[in-house]
Amino acid sequence: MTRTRALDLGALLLGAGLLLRAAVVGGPRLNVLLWPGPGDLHEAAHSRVACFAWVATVCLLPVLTSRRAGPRLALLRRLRAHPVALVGLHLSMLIVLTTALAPLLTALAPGRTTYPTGLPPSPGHWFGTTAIGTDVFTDTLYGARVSLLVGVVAVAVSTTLGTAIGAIGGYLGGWPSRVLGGFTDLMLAIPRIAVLLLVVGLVPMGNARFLIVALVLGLTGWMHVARTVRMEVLSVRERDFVIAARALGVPEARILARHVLPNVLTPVVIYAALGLGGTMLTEAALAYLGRGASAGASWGSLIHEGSSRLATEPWSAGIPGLCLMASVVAFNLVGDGLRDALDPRLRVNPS
Amino acid sequence: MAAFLLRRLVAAVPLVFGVMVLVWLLLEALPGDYCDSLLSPDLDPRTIPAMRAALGCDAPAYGRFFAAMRGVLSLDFGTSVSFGRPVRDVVLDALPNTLLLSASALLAGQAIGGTAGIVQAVYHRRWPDTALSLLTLAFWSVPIFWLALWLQLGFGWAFATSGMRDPMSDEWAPWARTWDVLVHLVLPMTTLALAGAAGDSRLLRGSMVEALHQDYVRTARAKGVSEPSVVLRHALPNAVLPWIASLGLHLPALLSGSLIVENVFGWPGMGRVMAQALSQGDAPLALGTFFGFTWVVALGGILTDAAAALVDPRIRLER
Repeated sequence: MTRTRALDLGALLLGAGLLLRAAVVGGPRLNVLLWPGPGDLHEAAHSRVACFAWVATVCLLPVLTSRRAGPRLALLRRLRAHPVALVGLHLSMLIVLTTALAPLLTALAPGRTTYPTGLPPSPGHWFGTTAIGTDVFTDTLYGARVSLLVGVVAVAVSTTLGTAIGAIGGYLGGWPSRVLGGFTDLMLAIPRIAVLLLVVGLVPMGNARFLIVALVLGLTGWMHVARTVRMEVLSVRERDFVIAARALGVPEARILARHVLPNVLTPVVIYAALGLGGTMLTEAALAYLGRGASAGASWGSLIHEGSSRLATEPWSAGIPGLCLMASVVAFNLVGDGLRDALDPRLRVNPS
Repeated sequence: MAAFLLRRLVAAVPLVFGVMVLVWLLLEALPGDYCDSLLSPDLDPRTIPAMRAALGCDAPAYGRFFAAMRGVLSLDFGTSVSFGRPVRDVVLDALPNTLLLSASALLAGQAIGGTAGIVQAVYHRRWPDTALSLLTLAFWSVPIFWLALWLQLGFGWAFATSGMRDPMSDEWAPWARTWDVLVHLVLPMTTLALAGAAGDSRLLRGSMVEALHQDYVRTARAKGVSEPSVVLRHALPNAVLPWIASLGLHLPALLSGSLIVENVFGWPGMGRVMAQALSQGDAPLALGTFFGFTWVVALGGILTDAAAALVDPRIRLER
């Protein structure tokens, strides 16, 4: 348990450092976080929620997962027993916290081109500036918002859709099962990035673009979930408690929703964690090919813009790339930990 | 075996056809059509309607659909606007290049990932295992185009970083031309291989650890078989199966990766052709490249199943 304690302490110190930084940069604006005025609500709301959620988790985890806690938290305790998963958990929460606190961590504006050009990392510009005079630290902080949001929305869509298609196909059997299974195979046969390039080309530039891109990413990423859920449903629907429910006259839709689905959600949860990283990588690749979620905002497009000057100013493409990699590592660690904690037999391999 | 291959091939036809229908529908949703991109706006505006009619752009949607599907069935997709050549020729020129890149990356990735997985299993839960786990996790999480950019920067002095051939290589001797292609192949192949190897090593590590705890391994050790032989001749053949079976699942990801890597390194394969077709609204070419891509994935899946059956006599192909 000492290693776990050390990890908690490290996370707490990092969080305290972040808040200190926010206090220095944010100055009077830090008040916004605690006592927002009427005009600040929008910016403050999610910063506050993320901040409190993180502090609460860090403080409560040791209490919640102590041996005296009830059996409901057994999963959390098993996850915590995994130091690797715990590192991932803290790292992902740290990323979410930094993202939410972005306006308080930097006094500069994202995308503004009025700073000195091509500066290496220095006290004034932590990660340097680009050749067109944007601040890399600021852009990376704000770019995280686009990358993370696109990833979360896309994974929400793909897991929901995949669970629905897999569960209905697996539970009903017969021709609906064949049709849905065939459609899943069809979608699996096309390289995802090619479809994305084709579809995303249709989406006009604008404020809603990143939501549509996220939606399309979700609509092309549900197949592995559907396959896994389908296999699980096929085995669960023959179990005794399902047969008993049917004998009692419970409607089929209710059996599926209340008795079958809760028993197949484990691989879905694991996939959601593992798929988040993969989806963020795919979005970055799209942005790199010039079809990103928005013009010059996400990590992928920052790398795209900096890539031509990698030799002379490696920080402008290197820092967003490192951040992207760190986030994907964090989410993969959580996913691996969940898999080990929930089901050591299962090996999900999303691509 | 022959009957199995034939049946799977026949089963793949409706799959490819379904993909074609889906892609046609998406292309139909693109603004502008084939004739808009083909006919230059400098043309006499009075002749355009006649030329549109002659090219079949003004036909009703179902007419265009059947024309496109007839093209798919006869393997004649028409003329590419952006290349000014028949789509079939463009795709057939690009396909071998993509296959060369993907196949060499697959082999190199399996070699790297396989070695890493075996080492990890042998040193299970000791420092080489931990170090390699961290390394594979990093490569599993790296944005592939970003890795490509760094390799380009770091090894550009040793290998070619763009294209597939030297522009002057037509006049060279055959061996020099082959060497030239290899020099151009190294970096894109390494990028794809490193990204792919991570997933493979994770898979092989798991099954090797399991195999090394089996009774027959203990028996082999007890009768004095040397440790390398225990690992490579007793445990590995039994652990390798899920690994081979997973190859087919990797193929779409590998091709997606090669699509990105080709665009970074200017490799003249399907990925570049497809990117060009999609950015210029070249519908016939897009249909043709999707056709080629889908067949490669389908054939790869069939070959993987056949290979798994060859390696493991317990698998029966007749299902």
